Amino acid sequence: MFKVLYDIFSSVKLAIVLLLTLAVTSIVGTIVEQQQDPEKYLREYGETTYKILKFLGFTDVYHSWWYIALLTLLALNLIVCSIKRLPKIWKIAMEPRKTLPPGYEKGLAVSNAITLQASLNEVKEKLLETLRNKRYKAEVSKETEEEVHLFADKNVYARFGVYIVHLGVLIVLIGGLVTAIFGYRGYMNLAEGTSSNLVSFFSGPKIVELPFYVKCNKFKIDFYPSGMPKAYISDLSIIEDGKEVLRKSIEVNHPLKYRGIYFYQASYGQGEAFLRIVSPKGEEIVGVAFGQPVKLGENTYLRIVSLDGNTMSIGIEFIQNGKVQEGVIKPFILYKVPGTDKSFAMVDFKPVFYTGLQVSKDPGTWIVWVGSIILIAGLIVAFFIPHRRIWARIEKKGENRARLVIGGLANKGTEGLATELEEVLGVLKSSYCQNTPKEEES
Amino acid sequence: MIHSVTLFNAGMVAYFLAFLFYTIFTFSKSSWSSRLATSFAWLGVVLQGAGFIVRGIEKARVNMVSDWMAFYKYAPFTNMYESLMLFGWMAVLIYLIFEWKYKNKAFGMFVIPLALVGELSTQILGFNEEAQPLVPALQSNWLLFHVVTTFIGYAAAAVSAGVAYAYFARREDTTKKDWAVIFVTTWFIFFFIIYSAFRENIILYLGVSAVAAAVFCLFLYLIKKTGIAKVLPTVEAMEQIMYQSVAVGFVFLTIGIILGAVWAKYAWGGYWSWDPKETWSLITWLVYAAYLHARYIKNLRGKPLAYFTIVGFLSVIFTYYGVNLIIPGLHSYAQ
Repeated sequence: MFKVLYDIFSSVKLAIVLLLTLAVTSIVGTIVEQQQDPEKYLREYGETTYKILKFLGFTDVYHSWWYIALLTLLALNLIVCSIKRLPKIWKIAMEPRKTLPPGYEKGLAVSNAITLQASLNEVKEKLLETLRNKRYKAEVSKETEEEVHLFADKNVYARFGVYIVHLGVLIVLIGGLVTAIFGYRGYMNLAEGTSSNLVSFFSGPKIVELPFYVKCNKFKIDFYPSGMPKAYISDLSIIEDGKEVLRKSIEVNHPLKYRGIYFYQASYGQGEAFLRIVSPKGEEIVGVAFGQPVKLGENTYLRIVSLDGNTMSIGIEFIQNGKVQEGVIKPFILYKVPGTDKSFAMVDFKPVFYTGLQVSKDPGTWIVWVGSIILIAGLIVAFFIPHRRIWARIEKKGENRARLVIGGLANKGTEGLATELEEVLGVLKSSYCQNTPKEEES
Repeated sequence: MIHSVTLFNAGMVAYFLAFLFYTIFTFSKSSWSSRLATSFAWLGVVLQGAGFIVRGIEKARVNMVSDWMAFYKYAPFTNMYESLMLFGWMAVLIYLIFEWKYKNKAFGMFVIPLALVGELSTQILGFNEEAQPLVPALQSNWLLFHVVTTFIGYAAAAVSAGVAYAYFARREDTTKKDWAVIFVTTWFIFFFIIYSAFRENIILYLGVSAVAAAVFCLFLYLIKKTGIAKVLPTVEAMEQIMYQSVAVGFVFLTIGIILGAVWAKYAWGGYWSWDPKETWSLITWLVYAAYLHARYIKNLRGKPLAYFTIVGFLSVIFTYYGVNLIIPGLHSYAQ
């Protein structure tokens, strides 16, 4: 059983199937709009189609159980494949045959032979020096009175490029997982002069309370002469324990970061509501931008979302213990907040602009960046850096004559290796062939 | 001062002359035509390169900035006109580098017209050639690097697909089924390009693109039947060139996606939002990743690999045209 699973997961075919399945299923999420309200789907597709889409996970493809399962299978495939192949590659790369017995040069991609006017030892030393100058790791692998064998290689790590890429992909996937579990993305609407510590999630009714307040001092829009917007600018302050600890103007592409939480200029809108909140301790007037929640009690929030000027009806969302209730209220009427000893009324409205901030916390980002760098480095190594190996045999042909047989292999781009071998031979020729160099078969 | 559009147009004329001389060279093998072909191709690259610099100055002006930072911050690659110019320019440049490295001019006849058609399509499809100011989301230091790396990836994908088509003309054993697949894929490619520009009258544009695809297939078929395809490198050499351009394309596509993620982190609040453009670039990446693995499977060598590169290019075309123009999303400003 284990053996069968191991064989399946170590196959390249499975990798191709998984990659293509992911490619095809990913298309779905670009055709069906993702993570919309159920009402929107019902309007667009009708009841039956919506139920089918929902059942298949097509309304949220990239978080559906089967998409995550495919990614998990791909990760497993990647790990098992690497575990299976790594020892083999290691052996090929790190423990090659280092001698060049007669005749073996025919099996090499490039080979050459030349007779030189020098002693065995001189040729050996010169060749070692030349190869080392070309950044080869060169060694004498066998030495007798009659023959010397040399082995040299460079960029041996290039053999592992693919595994570096796979490692990078795995780290990126882990980063994605960390983001999914520990990160969040939400929003905050702040009218000029107001502050809040409440972040509403884009998906679902969840509201996070930050350990500090964000205040919008000013919001403005710059325009091009044509009337097209040039910049959206919010002047923000971070307020902790009643004191301003940081003040910064943010724009699109230039967020504010505080304690690992990013605040982005994302949108803007119009409308600030003023609420009268009455509790046994007294009463206060609170100004709040449309869409931004006000805390009324433990796990109890209220949002003003719309105002109909004709009928004077105000759209609200009441959020208690993770449940959202939509409703309509009238101005100036005091409503009791269920589950608390407070009451509220909307007492005023101003059509001022508010800034829409996107708030996100994402501890997975750095993991993704590290994975990305490893991935890119791995790709460059895997595609563009050749592992080159050179074998040489120097045969003694007299007191001051030696025959050099030299050849090599590269795991990519033989032309480069051939050029390098030419250069090595050139150095030897210029040192030990005062006469016209005499080349043998090439 | 000279207008950037003038320089881009002059570049197109140079590409056209280069195409003529590459064709003459392919049939006559004369050294004068070879020299003229390469010279005109380089002339086009230089002219359009200058065009981008002038364009950058024009964009800085409409964006009302004057310091030297303006050029790279307001890089001239932000609408369909500019990005198609970049695509054509990049494809010719990559081709010329390959030509210089491999000392082989056989593909000039195929790649130059591909780039030229891409650039000319801005006129046919009616994309606005005015330099426009940038919306706030595009004003970023990452713009230049993200767009340039992505487009090197796109251009390399185009080169590999061009070689894949030539490959079927070169092979002796191209069957009816292969021709059918070639026809359908080119049909899709033409349809995406034409339909995404007009977005109406599907039936008409399905017809128009079918005719265009049929003409293209006929062209390939004639090259094969008349034996002209014999001037192309060997089947094995073409497989190698396909692989190498996919490798270059894959690396740059990966870098482009990652730079996009870095930019998204600063602009949209997260490195990945499953925006249609992001998703389609991932789909393209997955197809090419599958291709790179398919090379290790015996039964998939040869024709299936060529199909992979064509499907990969199809995905590139959809990522570029389809997502910019058909599916709304965070990337929709590129119209």
